Amino acid sequence: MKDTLTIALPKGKLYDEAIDLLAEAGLSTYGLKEDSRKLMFHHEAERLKYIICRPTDIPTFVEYGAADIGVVGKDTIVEQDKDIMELVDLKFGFCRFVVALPEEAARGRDLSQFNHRRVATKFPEVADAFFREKGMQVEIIKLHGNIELAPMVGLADMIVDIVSTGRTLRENNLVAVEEIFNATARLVANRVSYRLKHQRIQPLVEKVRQLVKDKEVRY
Amino acid sequence: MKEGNGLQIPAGMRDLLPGVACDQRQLESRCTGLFTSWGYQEVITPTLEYLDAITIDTGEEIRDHLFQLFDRQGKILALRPEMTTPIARVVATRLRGAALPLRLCYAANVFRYEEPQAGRQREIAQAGVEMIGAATPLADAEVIALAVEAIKQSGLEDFQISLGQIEIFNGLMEELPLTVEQKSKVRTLVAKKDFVSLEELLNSYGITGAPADRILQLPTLHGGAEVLEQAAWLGVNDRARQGLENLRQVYQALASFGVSDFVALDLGVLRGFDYYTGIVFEGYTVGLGFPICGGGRYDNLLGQLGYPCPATGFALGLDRILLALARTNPPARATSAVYLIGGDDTAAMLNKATQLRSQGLSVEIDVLGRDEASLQAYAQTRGITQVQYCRQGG
Repeated sequence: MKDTLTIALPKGKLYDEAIDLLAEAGLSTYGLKEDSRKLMFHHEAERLKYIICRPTDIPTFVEYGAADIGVVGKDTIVEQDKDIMELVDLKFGFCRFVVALPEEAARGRDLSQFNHRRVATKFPEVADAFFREKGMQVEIIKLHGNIELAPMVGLADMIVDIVSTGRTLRENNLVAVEEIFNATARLVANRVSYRLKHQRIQPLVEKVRQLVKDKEVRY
Repeated sequence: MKEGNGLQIPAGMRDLLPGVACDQRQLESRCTGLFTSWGYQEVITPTLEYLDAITIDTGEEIRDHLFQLFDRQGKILALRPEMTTPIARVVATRLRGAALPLRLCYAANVFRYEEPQAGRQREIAQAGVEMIGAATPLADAEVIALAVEAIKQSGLEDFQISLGQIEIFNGLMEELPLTVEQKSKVRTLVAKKDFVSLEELLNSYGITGAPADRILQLPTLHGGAEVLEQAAWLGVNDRARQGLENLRQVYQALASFGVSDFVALDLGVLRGFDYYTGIVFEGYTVGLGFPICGGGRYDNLLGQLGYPCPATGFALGLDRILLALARTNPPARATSAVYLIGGDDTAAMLNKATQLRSQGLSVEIDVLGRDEASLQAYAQTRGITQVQYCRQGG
C-alpha cells in the first residue's frame, strides 16, 4: 500500500487531457483511454493505480486518502471545502464563473439593481460567497443542471454558472454581467499521502509543473 | 415504536459496543500508563466550560465548530473542543506557583461540530500530554519522543511524525512588504494548502522570484537532516534563522532519544499559526487520510491567562489510531468471559466463581437455572470454552 501511488481521474471533459499530461510526465497510462467502462486500472509493475470517478467525487476520494493524488477542476474544489492540497494549476479545462441575466432584464441596468432577487445555480457556495461580498442579499436556488432554463420559466431572475465558450448563454438569450473568477484543472493531493509518499509525489509534481510551464511558453 | 429521535443518537456521535469499547479503554490506559512512567501526572477537567475560557486563544476558527449551550443564568457554555486550553486554565489558576516544569497528561473526550465522516466524529477520544515551564529543545524532543513511543505501543508499525517549525514561516512573512490584511489572506491560503491560489495571490501583490519561492517551496522541504541544508536559504532574518536553528537542535535531540527513524523534517507542517509559536508536528499512518496526532510549542497561551510560561504538548486521536489498527493490525481481544459456571447448587457456584475470579479470570455465572445441556449450548453461542456445572451434593 505504501508503495502504490493511487491517482483519481475525473470522467468527462478533463479526462483525456489529464491522461495525456500524466503520460507526458512519464507515467504508464496504457488502457486508460481505450477501456471506457472500467473504474479502476492497476499497473502493478509500475506500482500505480488509477481510480476513474465523477469529477465532483474526486475531492472526496482524495480527502479520505482513497486516492493519493487527483486531477479536478477548480470549479469543483471551490464548491466543496475539502481538506486537500492544491499543488499545480494544470491550465487546461478553462472555464469562467459568471453571473448571467436575461438580455432584456440586463439592458441598461447593473447587478446592484437585482438585490433580493432569486439566483439559480449548481454552485450555491460560490454564489453565496460572491453576493455576500457584494453586500447583496439573494435567494439561492440549487439546481443540478440546465441552469439556463430557470430564468426562462420564471424560477429565478438570474443565474450563476460556469461557461467556457459562452454559446449556451447566447442560445438562451442570457448575458454575462459579472465575472466571478476563472477555473482550470488542478493537481491535488491528500495531505497525508503527500508526506508519506513524498519521494514519489514530489518528482511527479515538479515534472508536471515543468510540462505546464513549457506548454504555456509554446502557445 | 417511539416517534421522533427517541432511538437515535445525534450525528457524529457513536456507541462503542463490547469489543471496540474494550479496545479503546485498553489503548487509553496504555497511553496514560506510558505517560505516567515518563513522569506526567493525569488531570481531569470538566467536559463543559464557559465559552470565554475555551476561546481565549484558539481564535475565531474554532468558534464555528463548538457545541454551545446556555446555563440558567444565560451564560454561554461549550463542550471542550480540545484539552490544551482547559489544562492551561488549570495551570494558570489552581496550579499557579507549582514547581516547573509541570508535566500533565489526560485521556478525555472532546467535541467538535464538524461534518461527520470516517475518522472525523463529533465526539473525539484523545490522550495527550502538556509540559509547562520548559522552553528547551530537549523539552520539545521529549514530547515528540513520547508521542512516537505512544503510537508504537498502540501496535501501529507504519507511521511517521512530520516535524516543522512555524517561526521559519513567520520569519519569511515578516519580510514581505504587505499589509496586515494581505498577510492574513496569505495565511488563509497556506492553511488551506491551496498553493496554486497562493502563488497567484503573491504574484498579484507583486511578490515574485525568491521571496515568493521561499514560501511556495516550504512544503517540498521534506526528509532527513539534508532538509536543514536545503532550507538554509530560508534564513532571511533572525526570526527565520532562529527557527531553523531550533529545528536543528530538536532534530538532534530526537536522535538521542533514538526515534529519528520515525521522524521526518517537513517545513510544510504549518498548523494553527495563531496558536503555535515554534516546533509543530503531526503524525501520519499509511491508509488513513487524516493525521493521528498533532502538537507543538505554544508559548503565548499561558501568558494570555495571566501566567506567562512556555509550554509544549501533543494529543493523540485515539479513534483514528483504532481505525488505522483495525485496517492493518486488528488487536486481539477477549470478547466475553472465559469461564461459565452453572448448576443447582448456588453456594458451590458462587464459591467456585469467587475462587476463579481471585485468580484474575473473568467468570460468568448462570442466573437462569439452565440444565447442563442447555448450559453447554449457551456457552457455545457465547464462545466460552470453560464450563462447569455444580450439582447439589456433587
